[in-house]
Amino acid sequence: MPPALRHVAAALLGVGLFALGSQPAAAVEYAREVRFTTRDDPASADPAYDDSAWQRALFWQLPKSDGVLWARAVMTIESNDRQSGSPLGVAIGAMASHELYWDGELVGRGGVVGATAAAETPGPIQALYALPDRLSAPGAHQVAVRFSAHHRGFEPHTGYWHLVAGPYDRLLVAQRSSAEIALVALSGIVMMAIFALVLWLQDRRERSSLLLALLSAIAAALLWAESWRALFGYTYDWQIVRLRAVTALAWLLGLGLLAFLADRFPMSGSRWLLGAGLLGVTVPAFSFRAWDPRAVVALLVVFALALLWTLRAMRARLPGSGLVTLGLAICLGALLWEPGLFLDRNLYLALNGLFLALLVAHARQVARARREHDAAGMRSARLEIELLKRQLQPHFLMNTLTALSEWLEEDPPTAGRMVQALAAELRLLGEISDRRLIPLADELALCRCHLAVMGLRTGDNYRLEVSGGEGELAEAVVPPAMLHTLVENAVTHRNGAAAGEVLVLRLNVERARASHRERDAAGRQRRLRFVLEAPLAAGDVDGPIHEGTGLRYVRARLNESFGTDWSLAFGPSEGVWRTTIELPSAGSAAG
Amino acid sequence: MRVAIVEDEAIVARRLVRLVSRILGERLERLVHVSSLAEAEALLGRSWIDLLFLDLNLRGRDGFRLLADAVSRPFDTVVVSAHHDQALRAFEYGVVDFVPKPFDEARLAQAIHRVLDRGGPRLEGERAAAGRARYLAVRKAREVIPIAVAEVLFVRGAGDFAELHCRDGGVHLHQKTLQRLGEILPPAFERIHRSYIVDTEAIRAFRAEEGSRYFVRLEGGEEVPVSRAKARALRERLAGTG
Repeated sequence: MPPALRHVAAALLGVGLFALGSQPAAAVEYAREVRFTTRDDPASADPAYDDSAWQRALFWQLPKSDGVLWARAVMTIESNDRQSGSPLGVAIGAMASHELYWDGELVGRGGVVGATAAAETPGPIQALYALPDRLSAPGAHQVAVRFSAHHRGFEPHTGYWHLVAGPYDRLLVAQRSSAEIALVALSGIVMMAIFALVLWLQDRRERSSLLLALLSAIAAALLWAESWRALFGYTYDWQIVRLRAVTALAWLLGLGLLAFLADRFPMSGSRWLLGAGLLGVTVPAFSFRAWDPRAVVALLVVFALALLWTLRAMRARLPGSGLVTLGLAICLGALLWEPGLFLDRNLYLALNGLFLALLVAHARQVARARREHDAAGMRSARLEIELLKRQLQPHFLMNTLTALSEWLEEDPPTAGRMVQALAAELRLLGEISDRRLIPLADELALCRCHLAVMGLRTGDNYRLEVSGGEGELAEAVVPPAMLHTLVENAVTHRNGAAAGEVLVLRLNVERARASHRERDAAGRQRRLRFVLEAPLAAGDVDGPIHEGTGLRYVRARLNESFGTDWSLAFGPSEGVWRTTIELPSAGSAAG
Repeated sequence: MRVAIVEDEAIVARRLVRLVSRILGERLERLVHVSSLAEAEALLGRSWIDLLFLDLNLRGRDGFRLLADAVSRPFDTVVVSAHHDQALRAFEYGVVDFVPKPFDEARLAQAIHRVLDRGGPRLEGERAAAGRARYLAVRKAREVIPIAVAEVLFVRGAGDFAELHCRDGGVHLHQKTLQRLGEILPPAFERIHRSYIVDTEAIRAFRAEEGSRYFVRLEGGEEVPVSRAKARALRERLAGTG
């Protein structure tokens, strides 16, 4: 892990632990047993009201009412609750509008409670009210709440009821603490999303960076949706919207995570992974009545599938797979440890850890890819230099200059022709040397220029005859100076040929036999075979194999453009030296 | 003078032939040009050659194989090459000169005069340029074996040949004359007698006998005669350094 990322990780972990550790001990009183009725009697707020005929229930199990629901409970203020100097407060959470009465006095109102949907205005899903001092005496207090919930939009399992009294600041901190964790986790993931996006903007070819940026954004949205209540609060009719968003984002996150891993750690079977993932996140969405299990089970399936995938990647020794496996194992562990609390608490840190691992693994792979890219660039530059250097090599250059000296003194017109031929060859070389592949026609022009120079210099008559189908010749692309190098070798190797001899080199281009898969849309074979034949001097069976640097150059160029998808063979055959090269044709050439 | 040229580039060979003919004029008795390796190998075995112009890169084959063969022969070898970086190595093999391509008439004349003016007055720099051999190639059976000059204690003239006496006691016959070897051996090797060239750094003692006969004893104990003309200067120098 790069040092900078290590610091970021340490900082995130530190802040996370701090957020967890700063949760205050709850010295607060929860409303437990309540009595309730659906009869809307304004007198119910009066502490002296006789509610003995009302039904009894635990507060968080209050049923849904079609109209107005009254609930009454006794809450006790401990004598030491006031010692902190903070006023007392009462916090209420419910998927309902409410009016809160404390000792018969209205202390808080959320929305407008109404007997019908039209009469009701949705209230906040949670609220915190300060109690005036005159209502804060230690001892028992009668609390009454008037609810109506016409705007839920769905049938929840429970009404998310809770009612709690205690020192106001404690209640405030308790409410905020979950928001703090959410904020830390959220800012961490947002930063990662931005970082991944910047990575992608710098190098648009790095698709994984964009995927990671999108994935981080989805995770950030999920965290935001989860921490929405603690951070900002909302009226209860938005609860259904938030639940849908959480489920949808968990669905997206799950699929996105698997897609990213399949892209980042490419292995066989990625379709199976995505198929199983799609099933795993979709089925729970329709299998559970409650909302939380839909997201939790979907994430459980996704983490398990992702873990299997990265374990395979580890076996295949893909870089970064170990780190991501660790991150996924932590996520899965956190989920299995407390499935019920996962979405509310552990999700934040688990996702942070996972995305940190993803980001670090990704950054390392990007760095590695960049190094490889640089190395490939260096190799190309070196090949270009090698090609140009070979034209400046002393044997060619100095002999040519010596020949020029001779003609200048003895035969100036020939000197002029030599200068022209040499200039043409050098000009062509300059044009093609920095390209990876060039059309066959350019390559042949270069070869003919070289033969012209060599012909003048040796006094021999060189000719290059080219045969092959029109399509093949037009379609063929070759690395620069591939044939030129072979022609050069053949001519340089011509040992002891008498001056004035006619030397014919033959090049044939044809389609190579290839497997069915390598045929193009028109059913033609996609590989081309180049056969170059140069006459061998009598008794010469070694051929130009001593020309090591030339062949090395050809091989390096073929590697550069075609990877391993090429072949080169040479040897004597019926009085000629035959070199055969097979490579993919233009349409299927890589890069 | 009888000259042979090994050069595979037709036009370069033509230039060599033309310029050598012009420089030597009537002094040129015979001139032969070959372009292939096989012809060159056959040519080297001929005893009539005085001076060989050798192209060091024969169509991509390692010219040094041919060079080792050439320098083991009685005649002088001048390398003509496009590979300027090989000059030092060629001199180490004991060539008389290294003419880099492209060359003009003046440079070629300089190389020829180095051979023609043998025995005549010689400039300091010229001696240093030529005396750079680090190996002497000797022919054993059908092989050419390089003997490191550092291994050679002294050289004894034996008619048209020379005996290389080495520090390990070995004696090798070289086809060059004592005079030609003197041209290419480093300055530490001095001709102290009509028939002897000695590594002066190996001289341990000087001895005079009756009748003005002088000897030096070399490391390893061997004694080698010193001519009267050289004796005085040599004795003084030894007294000075000893």
